[in-house]
Amino acid sequence: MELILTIHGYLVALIFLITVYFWVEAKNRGVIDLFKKPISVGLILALGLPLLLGSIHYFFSTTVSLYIKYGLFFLTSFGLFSFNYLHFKKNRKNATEESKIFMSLKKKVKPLPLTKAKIKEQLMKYFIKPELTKIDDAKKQSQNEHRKEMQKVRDEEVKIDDKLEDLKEKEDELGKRFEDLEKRKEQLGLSREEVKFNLSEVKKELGLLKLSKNDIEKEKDDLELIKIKTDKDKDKVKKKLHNLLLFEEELEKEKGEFVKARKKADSIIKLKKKIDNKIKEYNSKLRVFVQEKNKLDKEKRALQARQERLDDDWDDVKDDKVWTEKQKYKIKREYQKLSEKKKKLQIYEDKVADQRDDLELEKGGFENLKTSLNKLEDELATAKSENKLKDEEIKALKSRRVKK
Amino acid sequence: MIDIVLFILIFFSFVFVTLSIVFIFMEREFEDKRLRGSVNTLLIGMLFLAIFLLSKVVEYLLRFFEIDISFYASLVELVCISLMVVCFLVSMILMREL
Repeated sequence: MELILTIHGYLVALIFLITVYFWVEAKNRGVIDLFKKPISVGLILALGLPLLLGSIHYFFSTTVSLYIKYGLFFLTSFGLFSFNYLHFKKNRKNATEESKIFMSLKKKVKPLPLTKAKIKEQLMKYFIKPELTKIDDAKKQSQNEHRKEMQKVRDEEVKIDDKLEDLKEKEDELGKRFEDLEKRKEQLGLSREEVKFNLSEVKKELGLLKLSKNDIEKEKDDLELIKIKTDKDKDKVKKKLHNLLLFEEELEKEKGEFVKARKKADSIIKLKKKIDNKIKEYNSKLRVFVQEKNKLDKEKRALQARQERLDDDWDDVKDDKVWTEKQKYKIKREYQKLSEKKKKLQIYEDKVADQRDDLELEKGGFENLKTSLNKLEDELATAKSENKLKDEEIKALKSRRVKK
Repeated sequence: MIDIVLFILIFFSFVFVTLSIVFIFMEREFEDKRLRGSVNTLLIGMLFLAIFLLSKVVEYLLRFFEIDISFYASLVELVCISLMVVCFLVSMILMREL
């Protein structure tokens, strides 16, 4: 089997060499280039190379030749696969794009019914009309350009006309100026005569002015007389003013007194407020006393009731022999305590009554003070109103003085 | 160890060769019509090569289970390689006639 395989190997190698020779020849003739991927043919043939090398295993050990054989197989097959895969991917992308374009064209294109009229119509629609529109557009463009050029020429003509008009206007202006100069020349000749005439008129006016000067002097004398009179009036007014100033000073003094009185009134008002507060305090104290008194009255009544009960009990117990002496003594002690308490309460009640009387007296005094303060307040109010009236009088006098 | 490495090499060679056949077959229609015959014979030759590689894969796979089919594998190799080379030669002859 080994021998057969080696012979077979050599045969395969020989045939493979012949194949390679043919491949080289085809490549030289350019037949290989007809393939879309000529490299793939070369790679396919390269797959035979490991077989060729594997068959000559007399040069290497069997394992090495096996590694060489299958390693080369692996490399060439990998190369072939990667090349084909990349090519396939590229083609597929192109094919999908082409198919998309084809599908879109297929959707766009509608089958045309093949009547002559319709063919003509379609021709008109798709070929002749676009051409005609193009021609029309070009025509319109050229017309527009022509119009624009014509417009430019017209604009230039208008500009030239404007310039001509300007020149004419300038010419007219120069003519007018020339005429004006001539007129002025004539006027200067005339004005000499006017000056002579004016001189005689001025002389006449001078005579008139001399007459009016005499009138003015007379008026001056009259004015001096009036001045003397006014000076006399002025003196009188000065005297009056002096009297007014004296009166004003008096008023100011009165005003000062009133201000003092106002201050006093303010202090009185403060005092009144204080007294009011004190009255309030006493009132609250009085309320407390009254409450305490009520409490004491209640206690007193309770004590009275208790004493009566004790008296009753004592009367019952007095003749009772069974009642022990101790209990009797207790009741006696209690009776004594109650009487002591009663005395104390009486003293306290008297004290409270005294205090209450004092407070009421104080309250009466404060109320008297309050009434007197109210009177003072009324007086102050009248004084204030009078003060205001006097202030107004002073203001009026001052304003009169300023006017004078 | 040697067997494993060889097995991996042969297995991947087989995978790549079969995938290459698939790609070439799918793109066959894009080739020039005059080359149709030579492409077909090349593909058949590659198919024989794939069969040979498959037999080798099976042989090495079975070796792991201590089953020896090297004789049959050599027979397959003999037949497949001869047919492959013949196919390649025919393909080149067809190309030469263009």
